[in-house]
Amino acid sequence: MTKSFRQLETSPARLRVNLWIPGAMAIAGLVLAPILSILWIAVTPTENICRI
Amino acid sequence: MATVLPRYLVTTLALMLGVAALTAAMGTGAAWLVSQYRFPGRNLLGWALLFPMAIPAYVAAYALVDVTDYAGPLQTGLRAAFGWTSARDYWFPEVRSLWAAILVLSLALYPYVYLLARTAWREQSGCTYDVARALGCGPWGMFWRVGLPLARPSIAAGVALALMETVADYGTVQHFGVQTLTTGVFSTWLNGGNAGGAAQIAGVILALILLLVGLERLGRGAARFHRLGRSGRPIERQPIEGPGRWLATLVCLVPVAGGFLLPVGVMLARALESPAGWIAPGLVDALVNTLVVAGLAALATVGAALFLVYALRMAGSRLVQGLLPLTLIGYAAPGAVLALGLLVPLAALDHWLADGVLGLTGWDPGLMLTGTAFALGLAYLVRFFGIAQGALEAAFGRVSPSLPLAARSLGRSPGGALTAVYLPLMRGSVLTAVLVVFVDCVKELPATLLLRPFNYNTLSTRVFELASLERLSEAAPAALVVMAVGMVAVVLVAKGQRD
Repeated sequence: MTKSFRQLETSPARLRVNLWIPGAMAIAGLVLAPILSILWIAVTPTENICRI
Repeated sequence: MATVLPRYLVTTLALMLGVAALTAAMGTGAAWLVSQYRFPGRNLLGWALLFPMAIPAYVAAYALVDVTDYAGPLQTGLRAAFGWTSARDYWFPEVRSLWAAILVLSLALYPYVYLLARTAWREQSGCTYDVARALGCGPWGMFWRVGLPLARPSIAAGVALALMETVADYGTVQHFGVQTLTTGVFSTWLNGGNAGGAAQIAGVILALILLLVGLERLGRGAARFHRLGRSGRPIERQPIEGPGRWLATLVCLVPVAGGFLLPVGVMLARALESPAGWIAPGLVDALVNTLVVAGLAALATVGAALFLVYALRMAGSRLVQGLLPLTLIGYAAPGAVLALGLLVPLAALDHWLADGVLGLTGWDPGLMLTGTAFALGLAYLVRFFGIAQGALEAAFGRVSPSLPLAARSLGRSPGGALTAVYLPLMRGSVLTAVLVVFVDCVKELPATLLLRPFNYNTLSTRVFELASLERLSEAAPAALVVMAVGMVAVVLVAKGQRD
């Protein structure tokens, strides 16, 4: 094992929270939310389409 | 089942059919002539054919009606020339009709087909055409048997884009009195007060858009056209002899004249009629509002897209990466549909927040999300996220993977690698993405009309409101500013073509 790998192994452990994936999921959810909202309102309408 | 849906659906399908035929004919014809032949004005027209992209279709509609309606210069001139005294003395096609809407939308949207077809032919090797010519193919045979099949996937993609814009359009069809699904969302929701019915119509629009995307993919099928070898030389343009060369110039000039010169000319003439319109307080307010909301929305959209694309590139999971195509759907969804999908849940959240703050502090903050331009900015973000995402995915792909890997192995965090390696290398692409999203935000009309706060105008809503009241002279300065901003996008596209 080379010196650099030993250094990696012995470096002090730090608690790192990976926010990238949850953040990306949140953005994707935000972008998709209006589409899902439309579909929800369309299938559970309080009133149907009527002739105007 | 007595509903308004069949009527809206039939009109929308007729509009789509007309626009598909006309954009395909104009875009493909012009692109073929520009890529294959030499004729007077070819260089200038090659770029000018992109200019109608800068003009929102609703502005072109106002210009056409202004010129061709009963009191317009065309009919007035005809009456003066032939001695007619009233409309009963002669026949003139109905201006506010489905046909006029098809014409205006086609003139505004054919550049999608033109751009993609021209790029497809430019990337093909000239040897293909030399072989066809040597085998006795004439000019028409070259087009039908060689050129058209080679560019078919690009033409189909361009027509699909034009049709998505057609379905999303509100300003043009409303001005021509054509009742489409999008105008149906407006009237069912705003006039009928029926959000559920409007959502059902919006659901049909979404199904139509998904069908279009599916048809485009199906049409493309497994067709892939590659240039074999790196030595393929570009197409050598053939000169057109005789009067045919002027006909080629005319064929390319007509779309530019109708889609760019006419609206710009009419708006310039109207703006010069009343110079006071340039310093109207409403215009300054609309300009400031547009710059603020479109600017912030463009920055937020590109920032969010950057985060999403980078995060998903780092994620190894295919499930997570499968999110990328899903987030493009916002771009395909019309502004009116997104506005409805945003406003209903946002209003509920807004009331819940306001009640919470009131209960806790005794102070009523009012509607913080739907009562401000926040909802509008969010709609822009959702609508144009796909543009930013596409541009950034391409930009990330151009950076050699060894560079960020080197940064990571030297101890940079993922965020550090993004700011130290990717961003400096992608600066140009990020800036382009911000500009393109900004321009689209400035031109967006249906979502802006539905989501803007009270007494809040942007340039596009000011143009729409004043033009709807037949006050085109007052609308013209705002329309010219919107068109000037649109030209920025055209210059960027043209620059990308040259590179």
